Amino acid sequence: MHRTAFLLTFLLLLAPASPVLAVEPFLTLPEAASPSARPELPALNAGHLQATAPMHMDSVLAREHERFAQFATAQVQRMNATMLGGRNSMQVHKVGRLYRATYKAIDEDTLVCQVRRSDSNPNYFVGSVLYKEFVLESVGQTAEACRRGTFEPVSEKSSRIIYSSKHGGGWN
Amino acid sequence: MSMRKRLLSVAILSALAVLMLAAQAPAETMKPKVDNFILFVDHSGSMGMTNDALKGVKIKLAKELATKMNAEIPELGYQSGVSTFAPFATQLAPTKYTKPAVAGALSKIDTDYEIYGRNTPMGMGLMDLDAVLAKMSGKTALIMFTDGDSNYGTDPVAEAKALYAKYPDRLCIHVVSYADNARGKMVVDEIRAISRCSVVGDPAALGDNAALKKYVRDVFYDVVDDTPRSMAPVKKECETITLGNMNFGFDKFAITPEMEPALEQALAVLKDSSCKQFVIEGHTDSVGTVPYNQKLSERRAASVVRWLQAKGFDASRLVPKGMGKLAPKFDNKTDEGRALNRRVEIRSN
Repeated sequence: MHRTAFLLTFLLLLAPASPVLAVEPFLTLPEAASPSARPELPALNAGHLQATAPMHMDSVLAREHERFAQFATAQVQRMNATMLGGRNSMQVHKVGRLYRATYKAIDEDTLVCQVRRSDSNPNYFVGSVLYKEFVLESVGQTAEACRRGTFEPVSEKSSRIIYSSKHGGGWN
Repeated sequence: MSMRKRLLSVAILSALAVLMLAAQAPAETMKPKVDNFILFVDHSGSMGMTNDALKGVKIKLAKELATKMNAEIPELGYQSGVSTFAPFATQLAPTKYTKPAVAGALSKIDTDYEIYGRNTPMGMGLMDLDAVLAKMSGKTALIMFTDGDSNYGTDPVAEAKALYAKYPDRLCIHVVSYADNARGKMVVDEIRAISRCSVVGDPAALGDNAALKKYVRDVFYDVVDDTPRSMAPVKKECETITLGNMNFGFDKFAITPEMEPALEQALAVLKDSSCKQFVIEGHTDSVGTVPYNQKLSERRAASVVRWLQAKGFDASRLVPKGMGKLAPKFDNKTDEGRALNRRVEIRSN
């Protein structure tokens, strides 16, 4: 049985180098159904965090990227909910004969997340969430009409937020 | 007045009203954002599998979406092509864009194929596409339909970066992602992050027709209309960087080892940036007096500047500025808002 396990492990290690053996379903990362289903991370030493594979094959980094993406999505939702001048505090002004409604918002559907291992401290990951913040405007004949109208972006700002996470500490 | 004459009068008045409204409606002009585009479809074994969230076989969904997208793209004189990778094949060599030509090329993509042993050499696919890109002049949008699950060959992110380096300011890679595992999602995000021109495409969202129209507009063309808006659309080129969890201790301003990983990343971004000068702004929440928070935020901004300078960043490009509690971005009435307001921002000057 030990010999069989050894042979299987050996074959799996060979798989990336051999097109015949590199069957896609074999290499797919196992996915937990939900964050709550994931087991708690054991405390690993720095050696376990060192990249041993190129980034696109680094399963530890991929897992951390997924965790960070979930955190980043929730964080951006919090930001949109508390932002001054956000949708909850829309501004309406009369300009000439028309009304304009404006508010600021981060586009939650277009977040891009990156995770890296810290160069100086292998116990840390660094996550960046790249996003676009818009000022949106609607124009109407009445204040209510412009509040309910179609909002178009009138300015766009590219931004990023950088977080760090000690291994095992989660993102916050 | 007879009933017939009355009805006729009403009809004429209504038609006049419609014509007047139509005349007042803002005129729209479509202006192409790019000269060329390529639809680039991942044809690998993993794309032949089902995406549980999207409830369908990925290659079939990608083909359908690409076909719907094609129907929305206006014929504004683009050069267009269709290619697949894993394995690489040209379905439509670059030619003047017409909807039928691209639709015909997409229809040729086989969606029932043997997936066993069919790898995803995504990096190699991007390398092979270079031969097509090299024949195109002007700006090109590359729209990739992929699950990002690259398991063979060269690093796809490195290959994407190489393409951007070879075609500076002429190429933008947009990814419509069918990624359903952590590795695929990471690869997709890494490619999207290379350039801020990239428009994020989520197939679930693009199932909505309005969202698909918006996506096509964002990738392919600008609309110039006559609606009297308060300002012309303004796009700022240099991004703002916020250090999200720079947890200075209460009344403290020194940089601690725990802060350094985030600062290193900020330094890397600044070094890559083409912006000339940066202001490092310290912000506080609303707790405490104005003078106290002003002083504290100045010291924290200065600490960050000193750290960046010590790591070799040109001091003349950095300006520290304390904003105290005078420029909140979030509602200070909540714990969450106050936590978000306690931040360091790096913005271009």
